[in-house]
Amino acid sequence: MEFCLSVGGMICLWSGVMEVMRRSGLSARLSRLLRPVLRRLFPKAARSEDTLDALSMNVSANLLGLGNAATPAGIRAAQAMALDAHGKTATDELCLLVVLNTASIQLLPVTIASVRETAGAAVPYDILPAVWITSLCSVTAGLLAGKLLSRLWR
Amino acid sequence: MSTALLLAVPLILSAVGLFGVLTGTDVFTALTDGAADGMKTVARIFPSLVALLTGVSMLRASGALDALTALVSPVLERLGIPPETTILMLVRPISGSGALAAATDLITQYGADSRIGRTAAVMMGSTETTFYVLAVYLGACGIRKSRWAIPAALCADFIGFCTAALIVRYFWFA
Repeated sequence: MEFCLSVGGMICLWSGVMEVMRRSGLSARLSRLLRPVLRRLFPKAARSEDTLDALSMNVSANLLGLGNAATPAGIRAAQAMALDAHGKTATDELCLLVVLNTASIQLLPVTIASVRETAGAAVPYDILPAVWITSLCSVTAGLLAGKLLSRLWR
Repeated sequence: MSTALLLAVPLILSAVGLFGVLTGTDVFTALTDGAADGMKTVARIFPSLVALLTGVSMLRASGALDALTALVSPVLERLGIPPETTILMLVRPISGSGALAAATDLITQYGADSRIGRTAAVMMGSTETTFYVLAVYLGACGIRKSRWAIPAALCADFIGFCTAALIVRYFWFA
């Protein structure tokens, strides 16, 4: 009980910090930086400026842990991509977007760090490099698996 | 390395604050508005977290968790994953608050800086609630056939779990 409250307080604080990032335009800057990378990953979707916009907002919000901003942007990108899809079958790029969102790419895993802090970790955030490397490996694995499977799945 | 990470939180807080002031954002209002939003999140997950934490400790007390762990440990040992994290890996793709409860249980039971506690934290921080995300995104655009999205996403989760265990062992318990 006490544990939940203490973790809850830290979640509140970090939600506040995330909101500052969003309002000050920090996430917008990050999303501009990401555009070249996304253009390569999603060549078809990047043809539409709006879709690319939604995509980069989705990824940058995910990176900063802005879940509330990431999902609407991601859904906007997914719906734009689905317009190109024929019927109810997902296209390769739509699958890629979903895989990118299911493999967490958060820079600051605040919830679990708060749990660590409450449980008495010496340095709650010392797991950061480990989390980044692990995220990178798992996203890469997802993308590679996708590339491989998209050839088999006709 | 660890000193830098000890300073990570104050550094991030002041950097974000400074950036906010420089760009002319009303930092305090944004902070409190965001915190109010966070409060909603907490209120949403709080009831299920309490129930699930109780559930996990019941699983532990009844011995069911030990039985499950013993069953899969030969395979996991070979992959270098602590078998105690089985429940976390099973729940992670399906339920976000269930996984948080499982990770919290492991971290408090074995200690935040123990190998199991750290592995649980890294697993939790580097993966997502795969099936929830799938349902939200594909549901929103009316896609019925997700083709390779599910296998690729689960593959990413699996590699994430293995890497988490490997890195924790290499970084802290080599």
